[in-house]
Amino acid sequence: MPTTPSSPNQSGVPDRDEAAVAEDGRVPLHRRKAAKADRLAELMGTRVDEGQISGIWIDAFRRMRRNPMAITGAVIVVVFVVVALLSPLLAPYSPTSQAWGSEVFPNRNEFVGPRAENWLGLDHLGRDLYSRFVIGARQTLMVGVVATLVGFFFGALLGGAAGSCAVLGGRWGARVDNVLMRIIDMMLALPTLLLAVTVAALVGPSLTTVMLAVGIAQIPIFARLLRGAMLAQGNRDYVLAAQSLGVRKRKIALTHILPNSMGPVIVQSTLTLATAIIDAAALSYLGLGNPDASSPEWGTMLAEAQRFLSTAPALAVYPALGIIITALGFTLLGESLREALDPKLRK
Amino acid sequence: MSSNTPLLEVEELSVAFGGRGSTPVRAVDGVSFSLEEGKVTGLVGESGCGKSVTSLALMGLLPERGVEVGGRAVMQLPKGPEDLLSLPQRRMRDLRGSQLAMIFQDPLSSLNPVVPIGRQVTEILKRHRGMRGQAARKEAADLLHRVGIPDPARRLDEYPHQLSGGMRQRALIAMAVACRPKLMIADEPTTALDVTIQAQILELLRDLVTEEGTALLMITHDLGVVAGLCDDINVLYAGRAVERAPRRPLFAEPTHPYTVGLLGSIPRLDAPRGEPLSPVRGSVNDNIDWTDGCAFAPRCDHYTMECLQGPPPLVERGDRDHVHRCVNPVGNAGVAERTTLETSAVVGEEEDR
Amino acid sequence: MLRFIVRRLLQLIPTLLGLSILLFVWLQRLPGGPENALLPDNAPPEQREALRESLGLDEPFTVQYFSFLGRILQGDLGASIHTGRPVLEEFLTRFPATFELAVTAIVIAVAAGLPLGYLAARRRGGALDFAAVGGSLLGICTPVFFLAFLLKVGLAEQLGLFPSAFRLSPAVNRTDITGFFVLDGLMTREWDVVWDALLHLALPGLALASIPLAVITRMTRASVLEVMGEDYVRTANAKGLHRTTVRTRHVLRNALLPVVTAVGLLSGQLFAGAVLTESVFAFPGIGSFIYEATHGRDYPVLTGFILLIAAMYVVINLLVDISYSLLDPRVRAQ
Repeated sequence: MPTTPSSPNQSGVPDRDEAAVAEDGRVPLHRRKAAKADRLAELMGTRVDEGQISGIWIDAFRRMRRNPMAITGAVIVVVFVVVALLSPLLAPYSPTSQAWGSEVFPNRNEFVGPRAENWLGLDHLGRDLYSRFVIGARQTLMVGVVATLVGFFFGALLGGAAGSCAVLGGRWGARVDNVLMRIIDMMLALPTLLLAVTVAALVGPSLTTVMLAVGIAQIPIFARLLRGAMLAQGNRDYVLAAQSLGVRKRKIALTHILPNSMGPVIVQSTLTLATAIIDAAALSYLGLGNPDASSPEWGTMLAEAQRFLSTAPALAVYPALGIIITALGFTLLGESLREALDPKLRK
Repeated sequence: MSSNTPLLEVEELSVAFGGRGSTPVRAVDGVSFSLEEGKVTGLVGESGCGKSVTSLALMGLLPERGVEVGGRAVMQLPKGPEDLLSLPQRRMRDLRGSQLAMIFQDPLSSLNPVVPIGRQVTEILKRHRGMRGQAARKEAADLLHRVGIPDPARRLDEYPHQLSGGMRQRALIAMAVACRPKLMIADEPTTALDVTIQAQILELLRDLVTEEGTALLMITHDLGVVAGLCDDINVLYAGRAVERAPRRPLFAEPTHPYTVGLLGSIPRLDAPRGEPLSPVRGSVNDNIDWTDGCAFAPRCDHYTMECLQGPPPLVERGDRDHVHRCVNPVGNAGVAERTTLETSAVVGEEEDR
Repeated sequence: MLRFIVRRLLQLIPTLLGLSILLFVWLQRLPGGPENALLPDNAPPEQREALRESLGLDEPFTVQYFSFLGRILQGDLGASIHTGRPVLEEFLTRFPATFELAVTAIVIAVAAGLPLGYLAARRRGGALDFAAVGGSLLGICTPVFFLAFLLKVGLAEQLGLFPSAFRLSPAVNRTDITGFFVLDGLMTREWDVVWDALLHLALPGLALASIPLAVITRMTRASVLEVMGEDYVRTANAKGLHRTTVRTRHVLRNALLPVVTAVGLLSGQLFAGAVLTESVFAFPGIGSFIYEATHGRDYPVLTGFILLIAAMYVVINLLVDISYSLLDPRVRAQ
């Protein structure tokens, strides 16, 4: 055995062949042929293994698993979501209970910092800051998710309609697309924050207003993205192939073009979660957010705490850090997802 | 025909791309050849065999990080011979464009889209020949005229997207020859062009070589181009030279199975109708490490156990000019009478870069 | 070129018309309608009805819209409920302040973002790159009003390095010519006015610049990285051109094209984005007025200001397109 050229066998070559090769010159021709084929397979086997065909999403996932940016983002997002979902269990006190109200005197600059029963201290009304922070995570997550869903749903509807009309609708489709795009352009020209401000101002401040206002502002962005991606896909050969095979247009749009165009839209949703949280905070700061004290939201907390920034910075720092870190988590996740899906950056 | 010392002597050139942690990939592995003035040398092989990396290494255009270049490339410069691979970046910048020039594959992407053609030609005159203003402009127009661009004065103010593909390649060639370099490297200069334009560009290159006595290194996967233009030919496979010979012997008596396969895969007009083409089976990725044996073995029809036992050496075959790297070379029968291939026959493998 | 500009100007008309319809529908049809904004919640129905009539709200929708449009075309955007002055006048008196602020922010963002992004790309993977990418991500994720507050409390109130509010210190006397304080100061050579106005612009400008700065840095970095890998940069190197020539004429010239667009779009958004910054620094511009109008439900002011800001945004977009076509010969050819 040791005289043979084949080294310790890993690639599943049956043992009897190895024995046959050992006799070398005297073995019949077909045996020699098999032996050299095995040797070749073995040598090739050591280098071919990696790089098998897989879907782009699985591929992207693999790439992201190696990217520290993506991991950081994912960890932040997971922690945030878990805290938000479990917040009633995690909060030791009611967020509205002013049980320690007699210990805090904002006008005399007397605040209470972190201590055994109040981990993060008390806010200006003597409420437990930790409980408010944890419950606030829940509200913030809800605002972000609902606003993003609103933008995603209506934006995708508008953009998808425009995109499929442009790709498959012929002359009429092009016209419909044109009209839809003009509308989207106009919506883009309306300043998002001001739009949100007007909605909130006219409908009156509430959590629903904030979610709707922030979501509506995102519609044109989603619409443009999806339409652009669909147009790019529509020029691909596989669409032409499907058309020439007689696949119905609606089916092409729904089962071929749309799934292949979702990449950028999903990336955008992740990024929008971050924007929505920040925008919601801005609306709260402008006094248009949730007036209901029983469900504090980080934006509202931050807006309230601004007044005490120079005397009790901690009141503002916790919600601000919450917003910044959460937004950072979604942004990191979105950006690394975008990188992972970008064909230009793939080798 | 040529002087006794070659203009450029490349010895054991090797290029390895090393990722951090991962084992470095040897793109070029001990390639040697020489270029002589007034002669065209071909570097032939499929995409991925290391041709372009070879040319970029000679030009000093490989990225600085993560690349290891080994070997020597001694060029006869006006001030005496020097090794291009060990020159400092600053000195290479002086040489590039003036002593050695390069023509790239895709003329559209190789030209700056937002700078007029004229400016792109004059900037090299300004850099290496110190010409300015109207003098440079006039020289640029002359250069464009020389490479066959009609109405050159008007073209100077046009942008690359306003020119046709052939014109763009001519403009690139004009930039390459602007300072009469001793050595030109053409990396697949005709791949992106129509067949008729291909022939014109090749003719232009041949004229420049004969008129100026430039040494031309022609990098291509197209054996038609090789047959029509090159004096000496190097066939590369997986980063190593597998056969080297002057044009006639190579086409008349190819010995390495890969060369034979390449030649056999050219569609022939005189073949009987309906006869299937005979491509080299498999792809470049089906190979084994040179240290284990012949990298071509997986695609070779007559590999033997000997082919899989260590790296095959480069051996001379009868006469000194013809060498190959094969332990079981093909006999002379079967593929003779192929010397008179003309240009523009296309090898049946795709360029998927 | 001229034809291109004229064609783009003509394209503006339907966009602006559409905008006016959109805004009209938006504001008129919101639950409650404008009469709710004007009246206290417990107003009797008769009063409500009378107000609807006096505002013309009982007329058919199209009639309402066309009279709205007709008034806009005559430059009449209505009058502010609170100050009683015409909306257009209110806008114009506040415009110079916001304009100065926006210009400051864009200058800061471009002056810092371009070199930062470029150097980060050049030294990809280095410490500067890491700092630039991390910093810009942080900049995008920090709420502007919080940053503004930090700057105000930290640099202005605690350290006293900058004034914390308004456009000018009360002690400084200035001659009013255009309403642009810096410009006026330069014209009348009142250097103390210029200096004082610039000091007042510094902090709000910095706060307002945070997002554009982050975006410009990231875009420049990405764009330079992409261009450095282009074939024509390799060609330029193969020609033996000097490093600086390659970097300016071949890399930067191309890499800055998308950045120009981004700068244009960002400056369009700044006028709207100034709401937060201006209200933090009590900066008497468009933004802080909108903030007040929101709380006072000053409906004509909101409609008029948003329409004007949107129109400005559209015009800035046009300017961006024109400058882009001057920079990129490929677009010009179409």
